[in-house]
Amino acid sequence: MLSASFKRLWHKLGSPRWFFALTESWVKVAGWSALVLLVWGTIWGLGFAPADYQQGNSFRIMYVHVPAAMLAQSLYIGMGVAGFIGLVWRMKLTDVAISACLPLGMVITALALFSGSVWGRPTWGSWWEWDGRTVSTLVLFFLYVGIYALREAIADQELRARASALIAMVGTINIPIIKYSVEWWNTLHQPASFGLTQKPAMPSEMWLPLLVMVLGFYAFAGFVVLVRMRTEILNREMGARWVRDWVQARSER
Amino acid sequence: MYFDSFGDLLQMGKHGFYVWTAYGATGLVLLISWLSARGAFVKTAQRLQQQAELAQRGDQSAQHRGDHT
Amino acid sequence: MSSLLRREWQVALRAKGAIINPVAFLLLSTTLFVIAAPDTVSSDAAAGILWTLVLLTQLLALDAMYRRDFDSGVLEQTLVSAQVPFVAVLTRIFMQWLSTGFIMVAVGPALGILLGLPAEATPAIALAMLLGTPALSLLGSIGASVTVGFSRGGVILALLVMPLFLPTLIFGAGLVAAAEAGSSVMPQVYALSLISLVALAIAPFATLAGLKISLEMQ
Repeated sequence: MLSASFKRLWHKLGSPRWFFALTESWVKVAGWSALVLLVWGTIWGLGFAPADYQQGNSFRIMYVHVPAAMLAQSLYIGMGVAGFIGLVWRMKLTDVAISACLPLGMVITALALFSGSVWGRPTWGSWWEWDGRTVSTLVLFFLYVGIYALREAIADQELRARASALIAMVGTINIPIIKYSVEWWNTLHQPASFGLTQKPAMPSEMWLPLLVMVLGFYAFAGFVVLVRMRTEILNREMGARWVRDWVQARSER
Repeated sequence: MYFDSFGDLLQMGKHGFYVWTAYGATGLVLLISWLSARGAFVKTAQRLQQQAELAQRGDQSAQHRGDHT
Repeated sequence: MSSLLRREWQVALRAKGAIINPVAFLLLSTTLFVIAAPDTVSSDAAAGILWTLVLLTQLLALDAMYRRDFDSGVLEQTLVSAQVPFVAVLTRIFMQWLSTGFIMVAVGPALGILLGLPAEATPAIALAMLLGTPALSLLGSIGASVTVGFSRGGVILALLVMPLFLPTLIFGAGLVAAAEAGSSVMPQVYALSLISLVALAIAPFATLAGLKISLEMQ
């Protein structure tokens, strides 16, 4: 019984028309939750959370850097999963998903690199350190740029979709391998530098705002990705009857 | 509130420049991402609307022409 | 299978430049490096420089090989006429490795000497090349298969393939550095072998998929 309704939902998600109708409310929910969570988390993290004993107030940058770094990785893995689903189940919507995640993912990765650098300067003295996390994030940025360049180079939509899906999957498999290799490399080349993991466990007054910010960032990403997907669906299904009906209903509102 | 005054909040104990730069950049990126995504959607919807209106007017004028023959 | 190998061998023999050119490039770039930064010779950086140059050489050789065969139609022919396309792809990758990575097993140690690495490290360099270069050929083929039809595919190839090369680079250079320092190379041996095995598991399928896409793009 449960599997039957799940199958129906899966089928609906694969159809652009149903996806478009389904996500109309999702977009609003995601957008508003993102706004509330981000404002709440920012005020809490900037103004109310206690300062770090060693880092002082610069540690507050964590509340925007860590969510960005997490999101950067999640969006790429999302593209990889979408690629896999697209190649196995031949769902065209997965390419729409990949095209929607790509610009946001690139920009968020660059932001994570930037905020990490800004955090590093007052805390550890330098604008940039080659350690496990910086190298991993930098490589992640290259992974994004690779898919971007690939999509720019292929004109045919179907072939572009297949190529992106393939490279996104291979890249996603590569991510844990890179993380492991770079961490190993880092332990050889860096004396034990203090990072978040080596300090004593963070008290809840410090990580609760982080949780709120992480949820806010993910809700925001959900919002942006859904909006972009809906735009792309309108573009691809321009001639369809349901699109014309929707346009008409919209102009009558 | 962790800080005693608004001035303290801006200063962040001499880390103010870094904290506000990071938050500012983040805010800017999120803002632009939102506007860009939403803008693209609205533009597409408007373009489709215009196309529909043109098509309608085309139908109407074709009908008129049909009446005269 | 043997007829496949024979055909691949004939193609390879006809393109002798494919073997000579990469080696020449490797020697040339090493020379440039040494002239530009003479202090790197015999330094801790030597192992890393060696591997980086091998990587860049591999990139050029990959692009050149696949592009040549794509343009001449040999690639399409191989896939179309093969009974088991998967095996045809694997054979092609193996031939690519023979003309690049395999050569590095011999050239690498010589280059190491040029860069001032101790003679005792040469077996370690050969071992590192032997264990690491298959991954480079395998993973590189994935990128090459997708970009082979592009007019300016070389840059995109580098972009796609460098993240894939990174783990091999880390452990390959690490192996040589460990041998230099006199410590055990076993962790790197395991890591390099594991990476090459994972590459063997995914690369032929991915390369085949990529080639199909590129051939449809023509």
